[in-house]
Amino acid sequence: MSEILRLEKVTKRFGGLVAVSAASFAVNQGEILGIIGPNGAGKTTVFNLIVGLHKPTDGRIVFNGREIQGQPPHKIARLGITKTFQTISLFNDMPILDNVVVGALLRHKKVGDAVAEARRTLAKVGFDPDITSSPGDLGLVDRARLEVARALATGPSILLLDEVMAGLTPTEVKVAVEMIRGLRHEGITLMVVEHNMRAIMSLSDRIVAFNHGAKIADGSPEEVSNHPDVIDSYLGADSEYVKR
Amino acid sequence: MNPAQNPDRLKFVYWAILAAVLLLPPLIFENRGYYLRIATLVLMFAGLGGAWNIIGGFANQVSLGHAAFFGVGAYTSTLLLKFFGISPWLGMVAAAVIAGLLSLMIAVPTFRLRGHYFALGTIAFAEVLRVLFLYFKGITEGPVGLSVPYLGDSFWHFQFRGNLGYYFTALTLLSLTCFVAYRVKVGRLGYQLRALSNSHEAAEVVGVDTYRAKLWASLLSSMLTGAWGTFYAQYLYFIDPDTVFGFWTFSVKMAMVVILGGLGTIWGPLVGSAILIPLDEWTSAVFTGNLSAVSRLIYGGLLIALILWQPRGLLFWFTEMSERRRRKRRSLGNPETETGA
Repeated sequence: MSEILRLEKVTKRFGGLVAVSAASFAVNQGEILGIIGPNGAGKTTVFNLIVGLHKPTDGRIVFNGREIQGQPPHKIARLGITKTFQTISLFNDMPILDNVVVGALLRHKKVGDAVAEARRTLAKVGFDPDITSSPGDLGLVDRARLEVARALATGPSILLLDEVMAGLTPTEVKVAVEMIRGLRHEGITLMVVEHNMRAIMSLSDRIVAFNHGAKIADGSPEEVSNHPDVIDSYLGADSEYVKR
Repeated sequence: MNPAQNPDRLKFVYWAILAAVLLLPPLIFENRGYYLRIATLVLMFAGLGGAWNIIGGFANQVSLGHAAFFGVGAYTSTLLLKFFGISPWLGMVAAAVIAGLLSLMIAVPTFRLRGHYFALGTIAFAEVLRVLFLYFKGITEGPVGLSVPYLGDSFWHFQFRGNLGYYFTALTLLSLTCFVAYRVKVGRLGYQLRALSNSHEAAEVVGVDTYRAKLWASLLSSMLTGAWGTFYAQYLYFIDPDTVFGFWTFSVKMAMVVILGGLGTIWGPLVGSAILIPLDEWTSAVFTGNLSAVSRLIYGGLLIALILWQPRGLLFWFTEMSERRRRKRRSLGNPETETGA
């Protein structure tokens, strides 16, 4: 498998707080990489560093052999990396379709083409492509789905999903897992932050675990879930994922 | 056949009504009269609101310093005419260009600011310009103000007898303003501006260069505002820094007509202006002398009442009403409605 993204000793300090400390890991082309860790472990900060919302204090982020750290988010989106927001951040004053059109405009110069692309993307994640309502009319599940559609419309090669399954029922989680697998089949590389262990264990090819801003484990779902530091800091010894 | 069933036909009816309303004042009001003057000012403030709306409404970057561009526009054409005898029509183009350049300069420090801080930054800029134009008396005559040299009524000199010529000039400039605003709104830039007005971060992450989008919006907005500055100078024949760079006289008023009419809409500024300007004139005309303070009080009170009643703008109320009426008609089972067009 070829490497598409690599973090090299990436550190992010906010004042005195070290949010991410010398994190290094690689992402392979076409894989689903799970990221786990307790709240405040630095998972979302890692995402924000990759998409350019934060500048690393130190370290390098290499995408397709090219350093991208410190570039503004719209440039990184153009290169092919985007994310969804954990605290869902839709364009609430715009109709649902227009939310997705904004994303589609990245690769389509003409508004008409972008609208057509947006409708295809809406259909892909299970919306009615002719939907006319606004984000305020949607429930939590659909709001998360719209976040995914908007990001997807930018035509990313890597998509970072930040807790898109938070608050979903088990049935809805299944649908979401299928959707994410479908995206991988289209050739999109995915990084997924999730607390739902069942979902992330079945979904991920590989998992990276964080605690206090530092990477504590990196490997197959089974390896990571049996790593003593992961059990200590996150899963707990009585977790169903820990072999006894 | 009810026109409400055919969207194209309905659109035509709206355009016809609009055209009739806009062409009516010159037909019924006297050329040299007070009413045509107010009608012309309504068009001017509708245009200023429309220009302001591109950055203030579409992108929700509330500027309270647009008088900077207006004043620079007014002085540019007037100084060019006074010192070089250049026709104000060319002066208007120069005004737009210089106002545009100024907006690019202002963008560097102010676009880092969000929300209230952006508004404060724009106020500061307009104030700095006002003071500079007061200070450089050698060129601007300072607080005394500049009179536009009278060259006789002719189209080339942008000087007309009475109000009629100005009314149609304002109508043309307003059409241009609305056209630019419309193109921005339905185009790529419009989507990007609306997106960043909701969230800069989310817009950036899905590929919107928010700085660049705001720069374009600000450039178009300021160029149009500068052109309106020239119109004002030619219409009033007199400009002074305290007026054309004024906070209350222009900065606030052009934002006001948009907020009153409907933020981010094409026709909102015209609706807002058509109410605000006559209201302003009427209260000033009725309560004079000792009561002039009362006039401001009533003007302000009525504005507050209107905005409390329709915080999303009067245009919103109008579309809401017509939508409700259409739904009512449909629910009554009008057979014509069922068959459609």
